[in-house]
Amino acid sequence: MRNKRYQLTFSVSFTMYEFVSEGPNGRINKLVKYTESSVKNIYNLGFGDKLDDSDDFDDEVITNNKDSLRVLSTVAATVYTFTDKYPNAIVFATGSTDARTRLYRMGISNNLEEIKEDFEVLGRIEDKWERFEKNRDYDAFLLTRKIMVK
Amino acid sequence: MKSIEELNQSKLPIAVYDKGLDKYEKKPLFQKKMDKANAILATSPPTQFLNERENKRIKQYFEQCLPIEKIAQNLDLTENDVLLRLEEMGLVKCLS
Repeated sequence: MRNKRYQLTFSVSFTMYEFVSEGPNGRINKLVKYTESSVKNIYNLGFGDKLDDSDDFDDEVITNNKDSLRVLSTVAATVYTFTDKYPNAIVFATGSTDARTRLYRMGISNNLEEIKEDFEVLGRIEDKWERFEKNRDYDAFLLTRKIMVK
Repeated sequence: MKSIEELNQSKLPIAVYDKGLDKYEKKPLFQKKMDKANAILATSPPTQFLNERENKRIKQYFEQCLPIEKIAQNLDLTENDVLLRLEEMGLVKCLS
């Protein structure tokens, strides 16, 4: 996703990333965290806004800072960095709301050719996983770096 | 020389280490979504995909001439598992 992105910072383990969204509602700190799920090597992509004057984050708040594409591109960039550090990791992503899941699906669909150069992408539909295809109503996604074999 | 803006358009972004983020490493965050992820993975585990991927990785390491012990270590498998998978893929013939 070669759209404009925000500058990222990361934590020592490369599992957390922070950036600042800038728009009509001001500067909002955003955090991305990769946490290993109950399945080995599958990491949940958590993402939300930092709450003012606290160390807590909210992944359901609607920021409405008119920069959703730039934010999505920045989150996508963390997937590159994270899987560069952990090539065996599989990233699980779903939205905290149906609207967010739709936004993820649109983001993947609109950039599918580029994403597929480096990643395998799966979508879940009717409780089954399949290779991601456009115009399918997926409710969750898996992304993993491609393995090159002869 | 490329500008920061140009460099930041590459697939792998410029990212800077921030010690301040380390305090969140152990803190459970986005727990509701984590629970949703675990529930989805429990209902429909991507087992076939995981096995295919693991086999690809085994094949890749095997083609790189990595010792079986090292392949097993890299993938957190037993050496026996690796040998069985290689045999299933027709890459080795085990004498049992």
